[in-house]
Amino acid sequence: MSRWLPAWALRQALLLLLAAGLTGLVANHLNPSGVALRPAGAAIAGIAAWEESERAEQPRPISLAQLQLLLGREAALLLDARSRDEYRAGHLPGAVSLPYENWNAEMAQVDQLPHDRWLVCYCDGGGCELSEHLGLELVGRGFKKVAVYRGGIEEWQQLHPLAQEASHE
Amino acid sequence: MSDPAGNRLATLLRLGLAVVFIYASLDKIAHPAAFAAAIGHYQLLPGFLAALLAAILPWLELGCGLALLLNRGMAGATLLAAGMNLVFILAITTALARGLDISCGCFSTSDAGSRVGVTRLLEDLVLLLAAGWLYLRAIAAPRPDFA
Repeated sequence: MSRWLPAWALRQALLLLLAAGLTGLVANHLNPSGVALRPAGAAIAGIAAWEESERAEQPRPISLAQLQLLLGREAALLLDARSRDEYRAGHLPGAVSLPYENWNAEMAQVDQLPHDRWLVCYCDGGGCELSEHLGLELVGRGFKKVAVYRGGIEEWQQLHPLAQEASHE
Repeated sequence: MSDPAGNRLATLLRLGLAVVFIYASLDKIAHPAAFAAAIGHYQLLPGFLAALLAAILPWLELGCGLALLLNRGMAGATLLAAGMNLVFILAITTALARGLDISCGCFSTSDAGSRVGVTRLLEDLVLLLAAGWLYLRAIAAPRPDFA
């Protein structure tokens, strides 16, 4: 190699690069908040399969990546299952407040929800149950496209800002 | 060596660079997905490459930082450090030129982290000069440790 880039220096750099690359891939694989290393094409094929797979009579779990693909095509409506106060303090952008605690009082709003979009319920994340309950009620009310985003507020706000004003709907 | 002042400066720069690179790597290693989003904000790479870079770059920073700290493989570590800083400088420059108001993703992956700006650019220039000078010293006195 040249005087300014001797072969041994290049070898050192490549060795470091290789070690860091392998460590990074393994660590990312083991890290629960790791980044998905699939090409976007595979993710899009994945969402099609997710939508078309047999629709069970219960809400379908949806990942953040899948949710974002649905939101990108305006094929999903986010439903915030937490209390109105929590919703006001911060919610996913575009989400509609539908507190599970008020379920019986919200029938008028529920019957206006679209049937041609995925209704994606969420709550705080980290094992919260409000979204699951809300999803089950929606299925019981005759909605076929119901999903639960279990990551919830907790996962979303690690990557994206929350909205604070009233919903856009 | 016959240049004690130069040696002291080299040691100082080596340790300084080591601390900066190790510190910069930690938050990104803990939050690869958030770092991928920060890379995405630069709108320079397709999603897949941004994700790959987010998984690997922080570990490269850590590896270079540790090599600098331990004074091992200095030529390789300083070469990579200079290369990374050159890439950072290009990324920030193009972001500024395009008028992007985004978080830098330099030391913190959170959106509250510092924005891209001229200060960051100057910092990276200083780091680039330091790494470049240390690289020239390393190849001038070749003591290949592990190559």
